[in-house]
Amino acid sequence: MNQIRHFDLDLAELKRSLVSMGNMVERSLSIAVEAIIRPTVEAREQCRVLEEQLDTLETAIEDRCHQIIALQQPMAGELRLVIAAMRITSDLEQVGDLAESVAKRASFIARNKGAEIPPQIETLGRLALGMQRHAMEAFITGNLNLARGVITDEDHSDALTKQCYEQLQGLMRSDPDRIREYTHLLRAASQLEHIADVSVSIAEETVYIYKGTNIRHHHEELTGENP
Amino acid sequence: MTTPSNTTAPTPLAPNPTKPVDSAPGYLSVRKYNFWYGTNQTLFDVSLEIPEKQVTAFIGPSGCGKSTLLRNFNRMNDLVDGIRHTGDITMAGHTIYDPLIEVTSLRKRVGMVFQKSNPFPKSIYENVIYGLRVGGQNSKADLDIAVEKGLRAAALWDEAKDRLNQSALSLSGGQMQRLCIARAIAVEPEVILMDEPCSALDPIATGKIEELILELKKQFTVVIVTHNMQQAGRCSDRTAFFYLGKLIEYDTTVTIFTNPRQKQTEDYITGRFG
Repeated sequence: MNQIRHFDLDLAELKRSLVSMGNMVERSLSIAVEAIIRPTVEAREQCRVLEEQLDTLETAIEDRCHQIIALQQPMAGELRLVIAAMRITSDLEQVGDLAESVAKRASFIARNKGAEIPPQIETLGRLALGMQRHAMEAFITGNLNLARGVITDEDHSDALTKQCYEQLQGLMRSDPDRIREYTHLLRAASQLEHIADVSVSIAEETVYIYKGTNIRHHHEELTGENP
Repeated sequence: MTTPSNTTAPTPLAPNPTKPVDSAPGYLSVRKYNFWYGTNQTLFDVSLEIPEKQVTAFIGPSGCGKSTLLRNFNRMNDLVDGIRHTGDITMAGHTIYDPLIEVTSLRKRVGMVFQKSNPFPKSIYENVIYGLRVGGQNSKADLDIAVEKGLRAAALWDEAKDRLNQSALSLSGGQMQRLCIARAIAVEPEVILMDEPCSALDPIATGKIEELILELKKQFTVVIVTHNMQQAGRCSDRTAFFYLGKLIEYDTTVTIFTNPRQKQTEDYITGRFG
């Protein structure tokens, strides 16, 4: 029977820290998505506070990974976990940044009322939030089907973003007095699409941890067929 | 071996438990220490503070003086003709060179485990209680308790409890080394010195000893000499790098292995010389 080593406790703690960070990011993203659908001013400050905590956590997790590599010389799956952890923490921090930016735009729109929010923004926001949630759940549980689902959703997020752009361009033409608000919504849509892309990255890292395969740019390796 | 307890749970993502290396007095203090074997000086003006209930590793190339310093903590080098020293070593604030100190009592407080395990040609039971018997303890009940306590602390109880009366020489190499640790622990020392305790062991046995070291530091101050830098990284809280009898750098193990201040230290740990 394998004994539990002190190092196993270290790795478990590392994983728990990533989960905590993921929960914090999900909270921030959830606030930002709700804010862009029904613009509020308060969301910006809420996301800013979370973003500061995420920055601190990112540095701490990164430092811990450096120490683990230097002091423990992990191999095989443990090495993959530590390397992927460094990437995932950076990905999560990026999502936090993007969520804060979306909330900032929502705040602007809330203060300058009257802009029409295309329904595709809500769909895109909820999709991005779902992809982020599923990517982290795949990381926690090792559920590669979930990871696969996140990766295949990327095309859907791309299509929704394109629809948002088309809608917003139409609104800019029909309501030029609100070009600034619609420009902010364009950027918000782009940022939500970027969040979806980062969630795909987390799903790819998860596959790397559990299968040892780097599927970046080679998603067909996950399914054996084109996704 | 019991699942390691995390009783001193660090704050999330704290590095391996370390404290800032500062000039506060350690449990073991070495002050401007010079040492000679005859006319050959082997330690030059060494000063460092070893904290209580942490693991401190001495690393460095062969002949750098790390084992010499280690053996001076319990004055094992007194057994060598022609030695002399200047400077001082103190434990819990008291010099170990006090003429009123009985060296054997010092060696009870500062136990030692050697590179080559050296169980006595006696039973496992008699090995563990040897130091207690020499100290005058003869109560069977007390000795039985001490044996179980020592063997449990050395993570050997489960493997040895049904064969306590068998010869210690029937144990495997790794088990013998854990028996030697149990023997050292049985007299309830304050410090455990380990001179390359794993160099004669296979990787599995080495792993068990390293896990044991991480448990032992909850009760004892541990100083370990090792040629295996990775072992120092895995097991220790602080690391001292020696070269040609001089202390080159002493800091938290995390710092030594991720961002050493001295180029010599970086060259050594990256394998540029050894």
